[in-house]
Amino acid sequence: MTSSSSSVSADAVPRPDAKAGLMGQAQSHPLPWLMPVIVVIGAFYLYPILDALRLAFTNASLTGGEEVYSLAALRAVLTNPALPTVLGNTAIFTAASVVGQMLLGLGIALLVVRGERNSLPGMLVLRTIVLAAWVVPGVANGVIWSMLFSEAPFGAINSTLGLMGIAPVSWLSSPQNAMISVIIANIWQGTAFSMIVIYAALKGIDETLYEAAAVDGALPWERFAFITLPQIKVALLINAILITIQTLNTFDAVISLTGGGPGRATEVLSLFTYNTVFNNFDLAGGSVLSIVLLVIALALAGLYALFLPRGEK
Amino acid sequence: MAPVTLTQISKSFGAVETVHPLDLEVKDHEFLVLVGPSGCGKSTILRMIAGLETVSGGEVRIGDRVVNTLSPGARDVAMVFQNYALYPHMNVARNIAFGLRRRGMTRAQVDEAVLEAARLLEIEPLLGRRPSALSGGQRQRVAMGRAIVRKPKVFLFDEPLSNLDAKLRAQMRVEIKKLHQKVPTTTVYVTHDQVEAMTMADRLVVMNNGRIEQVGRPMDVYAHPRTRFVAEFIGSPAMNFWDGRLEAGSKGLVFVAHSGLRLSVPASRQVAYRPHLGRPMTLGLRPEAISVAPDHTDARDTEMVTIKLVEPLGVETLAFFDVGGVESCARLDPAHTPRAGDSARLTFDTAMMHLIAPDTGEVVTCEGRATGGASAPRTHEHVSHQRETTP
Repeated sequence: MTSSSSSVSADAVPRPDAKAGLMGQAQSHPLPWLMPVIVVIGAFYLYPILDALRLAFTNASLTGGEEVYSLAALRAVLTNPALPTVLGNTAIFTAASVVGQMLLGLGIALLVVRGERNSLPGMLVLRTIVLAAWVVPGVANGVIWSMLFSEAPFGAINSTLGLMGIAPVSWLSSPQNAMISVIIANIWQGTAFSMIVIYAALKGIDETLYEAAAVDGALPWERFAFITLPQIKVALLINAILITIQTLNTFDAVISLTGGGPGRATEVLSLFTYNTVFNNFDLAGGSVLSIVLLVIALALAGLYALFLPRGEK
Repeated sequence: MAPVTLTQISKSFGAVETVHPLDLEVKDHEFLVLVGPSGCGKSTILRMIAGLETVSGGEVRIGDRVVNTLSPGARDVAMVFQNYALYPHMNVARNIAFGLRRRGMTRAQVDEAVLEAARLLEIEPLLGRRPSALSGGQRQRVAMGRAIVRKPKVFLFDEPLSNLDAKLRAQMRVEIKKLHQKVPTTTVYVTHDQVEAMTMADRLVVMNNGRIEQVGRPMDVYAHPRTRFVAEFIGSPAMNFWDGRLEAGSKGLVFVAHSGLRLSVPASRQVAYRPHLGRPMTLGLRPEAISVAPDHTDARDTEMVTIKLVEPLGVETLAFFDVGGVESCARLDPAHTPRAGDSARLTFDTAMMHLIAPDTGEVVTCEGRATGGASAPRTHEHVSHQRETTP
């Protein structure tokens, strides 16, 4: 900008106030304003991902040694006979957990909101109790449920069933039951998150919509279907994205509850990745698996995002 | 269409009684306005008619049917809410159709009814839009469309215009009134705005603290308020009130305000006011009963005042002045209005006076007497409405 043009513009345009000036600068030169975020994301998120991508094409091992670029790790992982089983486990575990957490979270959130609307006492306590499960670390969650599911005579659930005259259930030793047990443990822990997200969405619905619907003659289920669900649709979708990624990444609860067993019955992708790197010391193979995990998570998130409303409020 | 009858209905929240037992009848086809300050219980009454609020005592009847225990949907009423309560995820057509679909009409019937309502309200071009893409006035129309399309027995309006700007409010006021002329459904309309109440009502119900203060036709309530509350609430700018006492003068009763202002009681009211001779009373006089006196007169019922502030409104000018420390207002002809700071001699037309007992707040009635230029002749109907009023 020449001096003459700047003086003209200064004369012609009233001097913008400091805020507008900053906004103007941010719009014309965005890079300096974005740098801090770019640096942090680049250093702590992007670099590890890119490095994993690089490692996937090497023969890197945790035990060290010379790194050579090759497709061997990729070929080995993708032809591993365990991979279909692991992917199948992951699909069942994730689908059941997400559906279970959403339904339970929705149910509890509806109960709490309804209770609060009718000023029922104890709603805060209920919310807190549900949240308590969420703050339990994943490993502790696995330990808690391994005590509950324990097939020893002192196992909490089996001894309770025994009091009712029901034969002990092999919660963790039967392959099918083990998967169900892991899913139950994960739903128990994850429901609180869905409950809070949905609860917040429900609280945001204008009460008079229900009144208008009631005057319009809508039955309770119609009010739920035509008011509640459309109003919390976005929250449900975003929640689905978040808990899907969360569940795909879950391995702490599984490792402490079943360790992936019996056999590979509950070995999910994240646990398989962990085992590959830290039990087999196969850094390259683990990198391939983590990229697979990332691709699956991105694909699912993209799928959900297709249903998000666009360009309208 | 049907009348609505409230018999001794009341509403309490715990120990707090927000609506004291009261009786009210809304006649078939009538446009009844409930007006009062916020918290007076008017919305609660409306919501009890709609079924959105349970009734603590008494009976709500729509037509011949007691509806106390019926759900809102089963009462065949339609309601327009203050914030319109349009379903945000549905377009205008679906918003209007929602109630019809719930009542099991076929798609073709619904479409026809929606189109008819949209034509009536001139919102046909908006049918495909979402509420978020509508202006306040358009939303208001859609909310009304949703109400009329069902052809309900009763329309309920809960402060429907209070979210609109002044110009649009005036316009919608006229439109709602026109709509009622075209579709004369029994209507209960709640507002805190006395202008809306005056302009729209066939009859208005003035409420205060969960009680009915007065029921009557707008001009009757305006000309003959029964209590100081009604006198003050209805009419803008508000009535002037001066404290003083009634004294006997050489030509009959005279009201002497604490400020020294002396106003003669008109001959027609001498008998009615006589029992209050010597008692402290309050005199109420509307701003339009005060005018600028002809030059240099020193006639009765005039007073020299200093004008403190003038508000020119075009068709009239409001002049504010002090009477014994009480700020008072006169509604003057703009052609003859003194300027702020001027002294002026004002004439007080006592034919339009109201005498109020300060302890009870009740206006001293002078039944059967002509009460001045502004009032409509008292009718039998008016008297019967007064009887409906709960004391």
